[in-house]
Amino acid sequence: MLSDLSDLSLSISSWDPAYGSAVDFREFHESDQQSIDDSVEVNSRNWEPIHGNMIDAPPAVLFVDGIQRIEARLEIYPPEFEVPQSALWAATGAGAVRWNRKERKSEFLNLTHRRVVVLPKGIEISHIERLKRADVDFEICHAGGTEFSDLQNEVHVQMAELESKIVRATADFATNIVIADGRIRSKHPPGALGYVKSHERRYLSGRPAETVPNLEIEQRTPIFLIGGQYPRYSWYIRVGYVPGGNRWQGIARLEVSAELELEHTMGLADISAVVIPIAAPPLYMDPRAPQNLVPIAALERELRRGLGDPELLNRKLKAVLHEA
Amino acid sequence: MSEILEELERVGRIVGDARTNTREFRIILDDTSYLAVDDLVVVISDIPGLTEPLATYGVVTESESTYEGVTYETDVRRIADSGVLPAELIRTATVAITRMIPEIWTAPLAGQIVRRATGVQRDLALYVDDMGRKMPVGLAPDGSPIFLDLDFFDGTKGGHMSISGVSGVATKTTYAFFFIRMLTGARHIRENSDKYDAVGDSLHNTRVLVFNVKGQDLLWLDTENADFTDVDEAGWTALGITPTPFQLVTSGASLSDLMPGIPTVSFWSPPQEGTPEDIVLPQADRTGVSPFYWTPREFIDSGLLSYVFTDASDSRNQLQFLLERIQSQLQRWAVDLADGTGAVVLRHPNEHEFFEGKRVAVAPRSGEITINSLESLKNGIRYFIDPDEIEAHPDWVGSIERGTILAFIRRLEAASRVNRLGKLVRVGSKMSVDRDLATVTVVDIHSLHELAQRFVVGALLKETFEEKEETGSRTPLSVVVLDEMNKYAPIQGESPIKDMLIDIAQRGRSLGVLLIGAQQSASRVAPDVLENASIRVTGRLDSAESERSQYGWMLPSTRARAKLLKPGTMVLGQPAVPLPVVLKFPRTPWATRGEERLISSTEELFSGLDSSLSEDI
Repeated sequence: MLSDLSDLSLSISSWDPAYGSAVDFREFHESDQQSIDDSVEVNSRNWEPIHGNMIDAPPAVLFVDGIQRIEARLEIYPPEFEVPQSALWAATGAGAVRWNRKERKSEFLNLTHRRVVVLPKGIEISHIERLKRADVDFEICHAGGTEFSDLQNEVHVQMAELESKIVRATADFATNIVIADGRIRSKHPPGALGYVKSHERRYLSGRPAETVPNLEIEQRTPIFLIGGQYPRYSWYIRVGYVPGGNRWQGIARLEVSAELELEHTMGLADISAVVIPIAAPPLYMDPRAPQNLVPIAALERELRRGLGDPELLNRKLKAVLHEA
Repeated sequence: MSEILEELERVGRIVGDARTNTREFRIILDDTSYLAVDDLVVVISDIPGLTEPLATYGVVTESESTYEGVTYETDVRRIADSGVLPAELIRTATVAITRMIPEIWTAPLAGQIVRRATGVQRDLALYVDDMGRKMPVGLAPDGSPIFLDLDFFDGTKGGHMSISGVSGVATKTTYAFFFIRMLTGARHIRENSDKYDAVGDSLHNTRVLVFNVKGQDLLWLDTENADFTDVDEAGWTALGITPTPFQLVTSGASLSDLMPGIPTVSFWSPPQEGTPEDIVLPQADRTGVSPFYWTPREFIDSGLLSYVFTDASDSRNQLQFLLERIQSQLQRWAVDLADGTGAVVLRHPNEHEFFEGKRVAVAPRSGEITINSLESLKNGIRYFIDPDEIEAHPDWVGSIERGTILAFIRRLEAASRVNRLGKLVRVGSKMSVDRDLATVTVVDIHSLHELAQRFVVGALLKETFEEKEETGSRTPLSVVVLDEMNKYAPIQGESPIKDMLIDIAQRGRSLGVLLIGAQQSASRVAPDVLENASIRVTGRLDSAESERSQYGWMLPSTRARAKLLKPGTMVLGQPAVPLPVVLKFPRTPWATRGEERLISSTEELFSGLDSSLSEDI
């Protein structure tokens, strides 16, 4: 017995929400016309691995990361619509791990979770009124467009914002090296390091590019500048070795806002070359080893745990939407 | 109830990742609290549908700790050495449920607050409120008394105690005496609720019979313990007893000097061969020990011949038949000699003269064998069952084969040697063990041959049991402490002592004869004896022994722990409390070994030295 037509105006799509997780996000697509300056620290013809040091290292390292999970895809189809519109029910989380090297102790800080419903541009909030019966707190936001990828992109923006907020709340640059997982963004305070695990993009060529695979642990490349809308200084370090792998494996790239003084950046680069490999996991521990740092992996695990059981949430949503 | 609990220390919450059930649950401890094994806890759960909150009581059986967030064993290096991996150190405890109030058997709810059960709540956890008469029998880790329901020892609802444990470290005998001191120490009556209750009015009549089988360990009960400390004293005070040694009472001495309220002890030892009968021990420093023996008259009247044949191999039918026949003939034929020393002659019943219903004592005729020892008794019997040159007397042997008769004589001959039973049967003024003299009667049999030990134990058990059978009254209680129960009531074989112990185990409860049996291995004791013991106690157990079914009353965790118990720590099982409780008992104020004696003056300190010097000269 269907009690009321409006009951059908909001439903859960049978589509598996895990589908969208691997999508690349447009906001972070870098323009191809980036200018690279590989002679800001050392002339590109003279590139050699540089030994790092921890002489000026602050006592603690702060790792910041965020996660996102799409819990469900909602279909909004009131009678006045011609075709159903999709919305996303998603969860994001962000937090930090402070690793105090002197005290040899790590702790989680500011673990924060948010649930959001991302509506396509132009869809009114009243259409999802029924969701409030689910007894789960959530926020509502609108995507920049109506395409499904716009919705996904908005989830990522929400997460990035949460993460930036955590960095701003926890980062004390006098006593911490601050390392955020992934690329550095304009919303990060200058001084935060971005830690990039994968090398999908080629920044260097010639002698600088040949220098990277020759790095040993505790060494770094000279600093180079990535130009563009948000200019960044960047350098490579070695976090570990992969037996049987090629020499590029076990390499990570770091970046920091170019607002920072070059000399200060050199100091950070030196420290990062020595400190970060300590936090690299052994190969058996993580399929993404050695680049996936232990504190970041632990933080992601903890954040994911805090999101709760996705099945349970899905059941709750179905209960309020599909059961009269 | 919840308001009362507010005052109790919160220790943690029931974990949420595993199921609770009606047997056990686990606790995640608060950062500021700890729980040790044997600690007691209480949880209040609001069970849906129940009108009142459910209180669940339990005892901690295991304490655990781990890092949460650890995937690999080597992660601990990243947590504790470099500190790069964030992890939470957690401590948990496993609790076995002892009780639910109200008695609705429903699991406590996950996430509930767990509190340490102290005071009234602690007593509830251990069913102290259910006990008919509670008697302290040890101390909990926090120093408060652990109680036993006396109704389950004194025969009201159950009886007997069985103590098991490895020799030397299990402190079985020491605990037995501690228990006896508790039993006889308080004289409060049932209604007097603010004082601990013991055996009520019958207390001062309670009699304890103990056999000393190892060295002279039990012969110092009246001597102060040099190792006794203030801590021990505090323990005794918590138990409600002023710690004092037992008071020595000797046969024939005046009782007027005795302090009231302190149990008394008397010591008995067989006479030394070749000495006047009142010197019983080679040591000069142990005075006040009375000798004991049986006269031929007592030996025959009490039917003690059975206890000469206590070896399991003696239970063959023919030999047993002959023995019973001879025993009854001895009782018919024996006539006292007129000297009144307990010696007899064997004379045909037709020739007995009676005066006012009693046999008239006689003088020995020529040719009659005067029976004044076991050796002469053997000769007397032999005269009738295997005489030289003439036929055996038909009244004595019936149709029994000669082989059996010879076997009987051979055994009796072996037993009557001086270093066996010989010195226990002799003539003289009546010198049997007087169990009414003192609260505790210690009979020293350590220097006797095993055959003689069994004879003494059998004879005194029989005397005790028959006395109670005659009166038919449960009170005053008669307690028998018997070490090496596996020797007297082994799981296999037959013997008159085993039969009697089974009889006591089964009927003694109603007759007020209570056994405190001790053994290294309960698995080697006759099940009839073991199963009738309501109270079970163990000290440290051998690893293999602790896995046996005889210790099924213990929890798996308690069994594991029993292998590691230290002297002075015991596990108590009693019907009134469905779980085993680990307890400690304070050092005794009396010496449990000669070395523990408090030497009060230098003179005594060097007394042993002097004698050894004089020997050298």
